[in-house]
Amino acid sequence: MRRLLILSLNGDPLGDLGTEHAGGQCRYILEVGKRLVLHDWAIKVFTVQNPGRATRQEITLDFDVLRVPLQNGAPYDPETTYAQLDDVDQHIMDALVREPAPDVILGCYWLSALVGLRIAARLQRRLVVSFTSLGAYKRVTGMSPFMDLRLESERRIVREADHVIATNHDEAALLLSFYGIEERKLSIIPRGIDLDVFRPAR
Amino acid sequence: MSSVRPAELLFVGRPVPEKGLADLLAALSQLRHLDWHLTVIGESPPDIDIMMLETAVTWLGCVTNREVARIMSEQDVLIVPSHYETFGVVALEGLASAMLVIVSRTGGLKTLVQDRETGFHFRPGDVADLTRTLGYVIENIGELTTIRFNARAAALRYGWDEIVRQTAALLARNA
Repeated sequence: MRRLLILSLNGDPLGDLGTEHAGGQCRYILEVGKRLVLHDWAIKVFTVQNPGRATRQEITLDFDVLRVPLQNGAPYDPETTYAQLDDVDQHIMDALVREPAPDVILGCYWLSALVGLRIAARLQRRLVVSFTSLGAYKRVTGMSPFMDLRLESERRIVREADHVIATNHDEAALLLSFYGIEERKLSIIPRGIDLDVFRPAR
Repeated sequence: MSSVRPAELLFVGRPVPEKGLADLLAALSQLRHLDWHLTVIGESPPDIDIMMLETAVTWLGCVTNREVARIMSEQDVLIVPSHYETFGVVALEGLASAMLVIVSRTGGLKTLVQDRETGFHFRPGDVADLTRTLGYVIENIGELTTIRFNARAAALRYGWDEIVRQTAALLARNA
């Protein structure tokens, strides 16, 4: 059995879809995770703990979500979480001491990947990143000091991560042209869909 | 209209401005002369005023994934008016459900949906362009069955089995 550590600070795989921070990334982690377990992977997901959520929850056998509290029980928010990344990082490392070491780390979204870089370095493991959303797309809605910080962080992640998954050719082209990723570190794997669930009416 | 019932329109998205719900409502306010009904899935954004449209809008809030699938299978048109979208899984769900999918021409949406082959494009944030495109689809809804068929066919290559096989192989190479 291989062990996968997924970092998804911004999106809880069991979050209520359609709320502010529960969208396609949550669905992706949930659906991929359930199927990777069948490929003999054991999975731990770390996410920020939102109010009312348990600190640990089993999704299926060998697929657990562990929630990291922010100071004062604050719910997830990008800027609040960024300001507390040191605490988040330490909380995850402390929790990992009690768990079998992962074989590989998957960081989803830039904040998760920033923590992933630190944990990968300490555990001497490789970090794979799926950005889900890139600042280079989002900047069309307006720039801010935090967006500058995000773009700078994403460039660093692209330089230092071991591999990056783009979901389509457009994202891959942006990673090459705007972020300067080395082509050898880039793969395209789209998001998927359950074709038995999403189908036309009979 | 070739249909005897209103065109059933659907928006699915998180309550954030970049998902473009305000653009969709602005476009629909220009299409009052057509027969349509809009269903919205997702939390209500705090900055949206639907008072002037409310009789033609049903707000469902958050629902389960299976409920989204059931609703999609019963609706005609999915509108994804995001100002940007890295991939756009909701559009993929609409394609798989053989809906008529209208997307803003941005990011992953523009490659996921082929304009006038598997769905329709409009310029991101351009309410006039969305109004034209949506008006065309509503008025011709009964004549667009080939596009619905193409949409489902295009979605077939995104089944989880293949995606997970690729993902598992990539992770194993990095383990």
